[in-house]
Amino acid sequence: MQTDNINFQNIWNNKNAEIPNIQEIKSTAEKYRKKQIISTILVMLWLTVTAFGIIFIWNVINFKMVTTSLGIILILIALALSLYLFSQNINVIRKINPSISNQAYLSSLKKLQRQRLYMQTKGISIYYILLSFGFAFYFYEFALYMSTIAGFLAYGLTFLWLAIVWFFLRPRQIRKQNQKISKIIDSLETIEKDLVE
Amino acid sequence: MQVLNFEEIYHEYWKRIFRLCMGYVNDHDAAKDLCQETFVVVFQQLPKFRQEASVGTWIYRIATNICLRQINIEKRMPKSELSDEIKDNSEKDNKLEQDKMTDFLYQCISELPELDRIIISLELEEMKQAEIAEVVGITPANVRVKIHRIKEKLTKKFKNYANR
Repeated sequence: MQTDNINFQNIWNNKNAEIPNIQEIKSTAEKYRKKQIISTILVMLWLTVTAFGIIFIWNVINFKMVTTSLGIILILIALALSLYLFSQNINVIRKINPSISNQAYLSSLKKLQRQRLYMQTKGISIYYILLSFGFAFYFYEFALYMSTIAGFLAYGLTFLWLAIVWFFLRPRQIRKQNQKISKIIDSLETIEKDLVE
Repeated sequence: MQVLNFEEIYHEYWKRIFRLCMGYVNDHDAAKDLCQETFVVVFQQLPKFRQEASVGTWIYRIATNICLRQINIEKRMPKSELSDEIKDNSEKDNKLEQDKMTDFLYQCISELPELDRIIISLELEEMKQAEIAEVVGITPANVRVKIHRIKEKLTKKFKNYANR
């Protein structure tokens, strides 16, 4: 092989592949569009259901105490939040316009990941706080009708479970998200460093 | 303003974008997927494209950013040191010398740092250095220096490969 003056251009252009049918592109684009519409509809639907649920519980069902309604509402909000956090984890990358320069794109990716990290770690804590208060309020009315022992037991067990979640499950979830996203941010930073060199 | 037709763009750029993606991942199927992603975005955004940049710059920006965002989707491939040997298998032995060299070039490029892969691929697609600078977002002078360094690295690899 002649190596004094290698013509990389020729070697590079030697790579060949069949051009796929253009229809594939158009149908994939259509598929993405439909998926986008469906997921938007689902989120709207879920929010509407939550909102109606809250209005219904507040106005229609007559619990004797406000705390019961408040409890259910807090639980519903917690569920809506968890759905939002989950949806944030999918397809957010597609929202960045990819026709900007690599440098600008990398910094947008990094910003997005930092936001995600914040939301996923703080969001998880907020979710459990809402859920705990929701249960505490919800059980209050029923606990009043129970014997003291049963009341203690109901509250005790619920909060034991919540404590386990808060002190064991939550840190684990946060750690996992943190690791995953931090790794991506690190990789992005490594690439960015190459830009300034 | 030039009237842009998706079909013309598709046929004019598909092979170039495929080579760029191949240089980035060195995997035929993965490169085809990245290529498809690129053209889906081109198809979606073409009506909104205001032609502030040339079509080429615009498409290459989309393609390279889609390659870069792989980092978010899958685990980053462990970057091994440039190996002097191409993976040996009987199928490859039967290939023509030219094809082997092509495979080796793509392998070497895919093992470079991410931005170097992009820069050298665009250079090999005969893009002007000023345009490469526009795609990547660094100065043309910086592009020149980087291309020089990458070519030096590749030449060294090819020399080792030839002397095996």
